[in-house]
Amino acid sequence: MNLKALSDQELLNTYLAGNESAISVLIDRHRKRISDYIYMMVKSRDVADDIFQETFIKVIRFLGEGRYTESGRFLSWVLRIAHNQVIDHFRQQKMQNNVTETDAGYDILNCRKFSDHTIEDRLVTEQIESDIRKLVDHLPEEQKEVVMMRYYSNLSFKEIAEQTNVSINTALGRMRYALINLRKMIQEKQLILS
Amino acid sequence: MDEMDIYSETNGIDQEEELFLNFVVQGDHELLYLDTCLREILGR
Repeated sequence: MNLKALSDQELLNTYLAGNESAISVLIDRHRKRISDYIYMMVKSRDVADDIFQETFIKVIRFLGEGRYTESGRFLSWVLRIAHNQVIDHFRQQKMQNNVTETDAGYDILNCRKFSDHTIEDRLVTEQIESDIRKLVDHLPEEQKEVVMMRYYSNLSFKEIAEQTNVSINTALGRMRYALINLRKMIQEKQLILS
Repeated sequence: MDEMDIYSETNGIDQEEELFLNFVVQGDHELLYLDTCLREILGR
């Protein structure tokens, strides 16, 4: 079986069916984004590496306990676990030094503490998806266009630039402003993303 | 920096991710998390 060709969900199913190699493929697939995310918060490669390891120990444990219920949202689920690991790290530091809650990135994007998910949570997730789609509609047209091309059509920035007749720099800049605007709208409307 | 500079700096399969991290996220982990959520929510 070519594991690399499988989707995240298929890899998870394969892993849960007993093929341990599947989880390695999944970890490798998302290693960069998860480790970059952790590094951006802790600003130390060594600490980030440790938290990355701890994160995946938890991921594997939670999977074994059947606590992953968010089909199709594996990576953001892992990022929330990583985020909570970072918060725990800052808490430990805070006990030893003086780290402010702002440094620790508390309440980031209204990210709630990881917890078990119920049917009620699924309904909430569906509502979040609906709300997010509405927010995208409120973006300026050129930003909305980049968002649609990146997320709905899965185009690269090079392809987006070609299709919209702008430079790659412009496409990247529009994406940045789109995310900043979406974050602002999410905060204003007090939406919870996870 | 022109576009060729941007692309020549980042070769291989992580090229898009590098561009995204360097020119969109710019060290702001909230934007990285937001992008991940949007990709999974809207990309279905």
